[in-house]
Amino acid sequence: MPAPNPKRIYAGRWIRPELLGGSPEWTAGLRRHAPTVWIIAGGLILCILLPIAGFPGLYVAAVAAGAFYLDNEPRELLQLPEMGPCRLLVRKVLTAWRNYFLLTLPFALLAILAHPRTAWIAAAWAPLSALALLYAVVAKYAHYLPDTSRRQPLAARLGSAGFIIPVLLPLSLCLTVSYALRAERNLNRFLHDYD
Amino acid sequence: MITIDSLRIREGKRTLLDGVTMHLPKNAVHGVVGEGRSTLLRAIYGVLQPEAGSISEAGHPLQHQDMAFLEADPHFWPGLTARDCIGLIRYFDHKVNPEALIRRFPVPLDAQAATMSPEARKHLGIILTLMRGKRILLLDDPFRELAPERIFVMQQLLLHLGAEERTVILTSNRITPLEGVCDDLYLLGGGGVRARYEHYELGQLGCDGEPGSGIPEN
Repeated sequence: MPAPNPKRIYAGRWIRPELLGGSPEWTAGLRRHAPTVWIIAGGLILCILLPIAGFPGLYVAAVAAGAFYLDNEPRELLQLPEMGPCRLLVRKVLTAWRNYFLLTLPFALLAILAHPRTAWIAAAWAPLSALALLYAVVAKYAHYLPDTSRRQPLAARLGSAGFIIPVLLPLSLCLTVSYALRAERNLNRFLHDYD
Repeated sequence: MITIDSLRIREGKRTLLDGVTMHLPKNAVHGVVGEGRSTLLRAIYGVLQPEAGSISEAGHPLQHQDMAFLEADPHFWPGLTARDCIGLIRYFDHKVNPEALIRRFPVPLDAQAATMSPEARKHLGIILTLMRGKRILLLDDPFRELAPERIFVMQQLLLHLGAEERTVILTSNRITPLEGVCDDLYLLGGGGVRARYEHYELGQLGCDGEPGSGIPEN
């Protein structure tokens, strides 16, 4: 069988699963989209220079990080932590939060230092960003099929859009609850004997 | 003892396996050749659900945490390097040490695993499967894509694993690499078990063609 065309990825040692909480999604995402990540980092620095744009920029980065959860990993990677569905979902969400907040912490501190009067926006930024990442994780596992590239159903895409378009935010919140329950049931097919 | 009892696997309208019964003692290397061998391994690992029959060990269903499965053509998630794949396993189990396996099956550690050559992907698959120290190893065509010198290394490793209180079930499209490695060999064909051979009978088979061709039914 011929080897597939080698696609270049960033192979540097700065990105390691050990540093990213053992998350294959963040490791693969940062490696595959390294130039985009640098562009977003540059854009965030520009946003921080503006009085109001710093934390909204960081929130948009959280929504963008949800793209790391679009592809479905192979079954072996899913089973690697050897956890039951509930524990795995909790772990995935906590890892997503950990990675996002660790990577954006320097930008958040810079935004507060540059414009102390806008620091109150951080009170909205943190929960909304956490919610956007929670949605990305549960939406992925609600439709998880091993080793497939997920084509999101329309509802899930509207739910993702809800984190950018405020009118759709109630739909996103409802879908988050619905997908969390469905994700647990869906993962149970693959992880039932780890409980 | 792993017991496979009257196993039937269907895919759509096709019956892939029907009435497969095997008794596989623990701490041994069991070979499987013939049509439906990969299906059998996937059923043991739980990827395929049997329509009828059961797979159990001492009366209990096999548990995923006891098993590791090497696919015939290992594939990896795009974006992860070989070092990442090994690092992910080490993240969840700090005790494992892949150094010895990497020496035996060299891989370009900083290359993207998904786009490596089939031989390198096989090497990486073997490393990832064996480094986890699972009790039951399911190896689907472990000799495929390997260079002749690596086939010898793999055979030595299998002998070592069999003596290490692990149960190995491996498949192959040829009988030759299994000689001197397996404690017994099952020949599948027509959806069922056509024959079973003890290790001392393998040398007499003297067949290196397609499985089932010219092999006497036992």
